[in-house]
Amino acid sequence: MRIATAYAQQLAVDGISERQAKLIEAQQQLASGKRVSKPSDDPMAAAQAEKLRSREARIEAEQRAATHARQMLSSADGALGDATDLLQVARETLLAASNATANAQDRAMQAEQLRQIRGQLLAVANRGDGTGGYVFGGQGALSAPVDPSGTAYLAQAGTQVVGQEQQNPVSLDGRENFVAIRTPTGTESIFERLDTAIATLSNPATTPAAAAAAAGTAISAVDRAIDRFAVTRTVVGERLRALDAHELALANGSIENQSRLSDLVDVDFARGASNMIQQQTSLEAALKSYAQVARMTLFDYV
Amino acid sequence: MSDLMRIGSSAMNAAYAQLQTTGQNIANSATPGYVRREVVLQEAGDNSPQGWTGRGVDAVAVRRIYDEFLVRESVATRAGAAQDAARSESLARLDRLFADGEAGLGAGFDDLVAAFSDLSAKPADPSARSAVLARADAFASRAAVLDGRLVELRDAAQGQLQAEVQKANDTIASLALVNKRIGEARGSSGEPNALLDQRDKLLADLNGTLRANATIAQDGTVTVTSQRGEPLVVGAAASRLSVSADELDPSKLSISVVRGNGVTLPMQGTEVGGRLAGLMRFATQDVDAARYEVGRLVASVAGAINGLQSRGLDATGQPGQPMFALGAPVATGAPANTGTGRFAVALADPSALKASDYELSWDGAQYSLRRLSDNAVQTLPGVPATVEGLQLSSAGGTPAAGDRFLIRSASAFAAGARSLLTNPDRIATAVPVTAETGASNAGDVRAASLDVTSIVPATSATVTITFTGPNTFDVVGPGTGNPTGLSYSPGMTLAFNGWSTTLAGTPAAGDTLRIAQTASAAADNRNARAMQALGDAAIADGRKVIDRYAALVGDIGTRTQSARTAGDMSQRIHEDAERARTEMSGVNLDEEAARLLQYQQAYQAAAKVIATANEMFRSLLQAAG
Repeated sequence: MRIATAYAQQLAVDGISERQAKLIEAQQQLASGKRVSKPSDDPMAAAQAEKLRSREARIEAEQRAATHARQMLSSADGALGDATDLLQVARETLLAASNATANAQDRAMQAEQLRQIRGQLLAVANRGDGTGGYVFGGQGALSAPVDPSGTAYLAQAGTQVVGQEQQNPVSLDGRENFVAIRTPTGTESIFERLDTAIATLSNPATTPAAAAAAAGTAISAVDRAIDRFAVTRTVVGERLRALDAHELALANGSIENQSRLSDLVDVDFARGASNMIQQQTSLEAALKSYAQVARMTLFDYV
Repeated sequence: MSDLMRIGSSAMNAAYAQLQTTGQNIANSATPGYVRREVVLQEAGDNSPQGWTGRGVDAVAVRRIYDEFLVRESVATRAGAAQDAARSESLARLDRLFADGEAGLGAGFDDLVAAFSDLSAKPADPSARSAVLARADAFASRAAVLDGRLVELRDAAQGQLQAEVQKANDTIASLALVNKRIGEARGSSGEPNALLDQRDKLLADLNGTLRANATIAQDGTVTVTSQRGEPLVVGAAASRLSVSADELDPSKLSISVVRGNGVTLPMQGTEVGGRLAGLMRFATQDVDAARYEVGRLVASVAGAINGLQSRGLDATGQPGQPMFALGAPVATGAPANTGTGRFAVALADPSALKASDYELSWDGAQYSLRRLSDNAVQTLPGVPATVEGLQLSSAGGTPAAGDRFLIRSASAFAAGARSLLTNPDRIATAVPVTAETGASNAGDVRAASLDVTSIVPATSATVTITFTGPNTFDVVGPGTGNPTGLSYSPGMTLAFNGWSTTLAGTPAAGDTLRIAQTASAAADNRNARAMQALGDAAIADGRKVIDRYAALVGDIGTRTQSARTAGDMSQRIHEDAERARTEMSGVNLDEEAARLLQYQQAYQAAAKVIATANEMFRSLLQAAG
């Protein structure tokens, strides 16, 4: 076989360039940590990685929604606790007012206390959620959902939900909790009941018997409201537990997702390093052999 | 003695010619296209009465050492290697455009979906609204920029194509000139070796640009034709390749052969072979596949979101305005059309779009619509017609049989994609109507879903559903006709005034359900949630956006990878052929060095023969003296 000198040299130089390119590619893989840095490196892996990246984005959004729902539900639980505490105090006050020993002056004071409590309870019912909405905003409210009169619910009853994969309620229904609490015969507003009691107690003409009767009616309403809050708190607690499970599933999903993504596109460092050493050895061999072979020429001897 | 003298001098001449040829070989060992040469020697002599008498040696010719088959093989494989290399180089650039997933169109869409998710948590929060607008803007501009980059890649490939054609024309002209000179040289003496080398070199060069078949005549001139037989060089006559805008799609180039007599023969782009075919295939099929999908995806997303905007209410309680604008699809007639027909094309159903442009043609009886992505043809009885999400209609005039129209749809959307909204309040996060159960309902009947299909004047009118028993209900409200005694079953659908609701639960007699205008549009998140849900909805011709995008990434990767593999393979095949050719025709310096010694010795020996003859002559003179 004849060898054409120029072509042989060209081939040797091409071989060296090719090995250099492979070495640089191996080095870049190690430096970036990515086995797949462009689609052609592994088209199937690149396509799959795109789906996993998208899935990860969904998980992150879902996690933010869950975090938001947790904050909202915690505020709701706090608001229900505050409302319960207020009504406990109202109950004590009403009990005291129904005592036959209480006189008109006592009742005026008790009425004033109840007025204070009623104001605070209205503030709880209209508590903001910190994002422009309301804890008891129903299906969405931009302004205080419970009318100061306490008899009208200004938002639309129901709850708002967030999240796609698990629909997490984030608001409470102010209608069923304050304005239209279910009674055996219909619905009542806790504010309206308190207002009636306050009006009776603050009237100097009210007799102790009438005061006791009014206080008794109000206490029943207060008990029903406290029961209602307890039921709602149980629901909130269940929602929070469901959120726990959802957040755990999301976190696990994310870990699983990232590990699959890493398997697909990241460099196996052991393999990458050994590949690089191999390429390096191969380049060295090509350079050395070229240097030796290229030096050999008959012209040296003639 | 004079015979011996003549033999010596002919040997010296021969050795000198051989030394000269060896020197030439050494001098041109790295000259492209140079074919090593050797001196053809022939014994000189004549028949005398004493028999054959040697008269020395004749250097009869200088011969190129080559094998026509090996030359042909090297030239032919070069066209294949060049074709694959050109496509592969261009595809590598396309591949890099889709390298960074985080900066990609798919991630842009996911960012938008995530922003809708955040907005659904805080519909009244101005910063959450602004974030949606920023993401919408980023998504639209990513699509437009990506399309722009794809067009740049196409234009760069077409620029290369024009340069290649220029080069090919120079080569073709040179070949014709070489043919002429070979013809002239033949008339005089000996082989025109340098011209033959040049001819083969030019043929090899030409085959880098396009696949050219060569037929070498007895006299050494060559006839060159394209792959499909269009004549490029015949004798001293050269044709010219010409690049012009494609008849149907002026944004693309087509190549034709212009013969000396002015006759123009169009060449089939991808069948041309060589770099031209590689670039052509990239500029049309590869870039188009990507542009079509990018355009279809942005149109699907924009169409779905605009649709939800139109069925929702913004923060001020007004029906939503479109969030996105798209490039408008257009139908343009071919310049060769003889009719006056013009057509309009409009986006009818973004979720039904295919990733393709179309060619519409009229044969005098019916229209046929060819999808350019896969050449699928369907016939249309007439226009207007709605096909694959597009509505085609006449825009005046009448077409003549044979008229053709290019419909740019998928390739038009992305270039004009932009977000339209600047006021965060304009995001229609609210559904216009809200369902509310009666405060004192004893049962748990509820609206499991409530969607608006189109806003009509009566959409927000209050409609009350009252259950007269566990299984019957009456409806009261404008636009309902106030039906009574309707029977209830869980999961049933009720639709009035542009909305539609699914009822669920077990009602008790006296329970009510009220569908009424949404009280606080700015605080309602239901339409925002519907927009968020597009993230995993099959809005792109029955598939999810991300599945389509991932398939595009995979497709580009596969194209690039297989072009690279094909390029490596055809390069290797060409190298093998070229090695075989150079093994025959290339200069080996060691060999030449050995020959140098050999011919030098021959020269010295010949000189010795002359010296001997001379001495003999002198001896004779002395003897005679």
